[in-house]
Amino acid sequence: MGRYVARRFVSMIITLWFVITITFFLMHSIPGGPFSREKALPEKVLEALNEKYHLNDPLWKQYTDYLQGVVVLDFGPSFSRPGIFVWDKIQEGFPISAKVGGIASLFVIIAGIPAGVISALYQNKLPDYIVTVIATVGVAVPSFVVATLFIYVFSEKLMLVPAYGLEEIKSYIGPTIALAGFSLSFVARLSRSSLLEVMQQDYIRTARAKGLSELSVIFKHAIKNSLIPVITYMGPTIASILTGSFVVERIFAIPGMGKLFVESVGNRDYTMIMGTTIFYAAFAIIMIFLVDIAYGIIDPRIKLGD
Amino acid sequence: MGERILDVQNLYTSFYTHLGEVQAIRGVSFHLDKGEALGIVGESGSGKSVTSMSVMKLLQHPGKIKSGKIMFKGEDIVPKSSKEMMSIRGDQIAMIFQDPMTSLNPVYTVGNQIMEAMIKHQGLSKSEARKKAVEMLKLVGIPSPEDRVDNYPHEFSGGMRQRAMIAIALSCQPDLLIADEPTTALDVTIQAQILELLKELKDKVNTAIILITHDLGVVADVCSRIVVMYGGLIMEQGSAEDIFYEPKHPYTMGLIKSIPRLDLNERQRLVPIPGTPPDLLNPPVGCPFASRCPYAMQICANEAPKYYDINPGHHAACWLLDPEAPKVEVDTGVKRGGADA
Repeated sequence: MGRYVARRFVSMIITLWFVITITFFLMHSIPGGPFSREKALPEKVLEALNEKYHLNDPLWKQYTDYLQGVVVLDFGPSFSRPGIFVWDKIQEGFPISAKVGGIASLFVIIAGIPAGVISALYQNKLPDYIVTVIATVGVAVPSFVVATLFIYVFSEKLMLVPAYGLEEIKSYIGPTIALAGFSLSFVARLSRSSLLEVMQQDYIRTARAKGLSELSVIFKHAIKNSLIPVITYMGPTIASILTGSFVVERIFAIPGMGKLFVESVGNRDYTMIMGTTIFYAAFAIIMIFLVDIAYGIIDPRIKLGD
Repeated sequence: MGERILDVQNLYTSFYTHLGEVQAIRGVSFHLDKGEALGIVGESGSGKSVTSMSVMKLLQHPGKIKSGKIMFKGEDIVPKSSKEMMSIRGDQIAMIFQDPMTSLNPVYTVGNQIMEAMIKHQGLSKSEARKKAVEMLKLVGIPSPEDRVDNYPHEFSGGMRQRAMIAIALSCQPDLLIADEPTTALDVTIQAQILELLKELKDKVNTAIILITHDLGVVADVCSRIVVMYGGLIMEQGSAEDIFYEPKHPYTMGLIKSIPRLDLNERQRLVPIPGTPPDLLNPPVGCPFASRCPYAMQICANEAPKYYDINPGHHAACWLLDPEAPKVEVDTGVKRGGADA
């Protein structure tokens, strides 16, 4: 186990290095610079800015400097907001996104899996139809439509919840639904089909032949097996929910990572774009690692040793 | 003759699919005494597995027992509720299945899966059940059972998994063990071992066995009586001796002729039975085997034959046995006292 973690850690670092390198060179190959504006800056000012941010250095030097910075979590200063550092902004935005995302992820797990299980157990009966219809709508309708509709109905018309910000507990309802909607629906569908497949397996027949009650057949023998594909999906999903959805954060005016990312793209804030991208990648890599560990716990056939 | 364990009377089982009613079993009767081993033989689709699933009352939707009685220890289990069946299944009637590779739950240890039935039916505590599980593994011939009890199924070979399945099935000393093609998925040497084990345990645990297979060679070894099924009907039924040495139904003869044998001349080929089994969505009016039978007569296609008694306990459903039918002599090549079939 220890050796496995160590080996995975090395491969995670290498993956991250690839992400950093690709992001860095992609950003630098885009025509124009961070200070290109519709109204061109005076030559002198541009020169001074490039000098200040070391943009005149040879590319390989900029690259090695950047790598050295990343190692100590220094992602450089923001190009478009003087005096502000990328890492500070991430530290500011991530907890907010993570809080909303945490609630949404929890919602996905505690509502999505049971919905799928109920649906499978009542296959082709009313509860199944209800879940399937809602889940299909949930997968098909994009989050910004859900968010806008939510604000229109519950804030604008019924005035039950605030339309933006996170000042009150009630304010979390809208972003949670909008953020979780797609994944929740997907998890419900995935758990449904996975459980239905498991229920057809020979070992379920064996369990029934032992005279076990249908409840213990389902809860002991079927669900654990049916969760394996769901866990695969949950890792990257939780990573993406926790780091915030820029659309949802934008609509609800939540000052999280997603909003930060969208704004930095709009402002051509190169360091900020790279910083948020790398942060997201690192987070996703860690989540995938955690999923693999969870696999080893739930499925004894998967050996994490060698 | 000992105590009657199972008496299936005129059983009809159908699957109600959207295409119509598939009449998988159309009036099957057989019985089984305490400690006896009965073989049910037939090719795919003959209804042998449906018969066993009917006795377990584990038919998958849309399968249903239409009529008939399944007397288990003198009580008809057909009208029993699913809750009543749960206390019988695994305790008094147990079953092992065809594919040991997929019949064990991959996420629980073998021991855990053996313990389950004992905890449920005999009210054993976990530690008692564990002790019994080790004993069961030892009984079915798993080496170092104390360590193996904590293994997961994927750490067992195919033969060992089937042994573990047998341990699960026998853990509560059932009166009846149904083995549905228990050796089909195993290689030949392991097949022989598993059959040997079944034979040995039958006497040790004193359980009656129904051995379902398409392989006559398998039943010859274990069973004292044989039921030959075809197209959802019993074609012939009798003692193993009767079936092998005096087969009266052309289908039984065909099955015997299609077994590979050591005592045949190299030039002699195996004789397959031409054709395919009947469509049970529209079962034939007459004998289901008529279209493949080399001796078929006019009447075979028009009217189902009744059972003709050949001697006590040996009967066959074939018009050839009618006193008015022409006499047909068939040599299957199996002789009493000759090479073992």
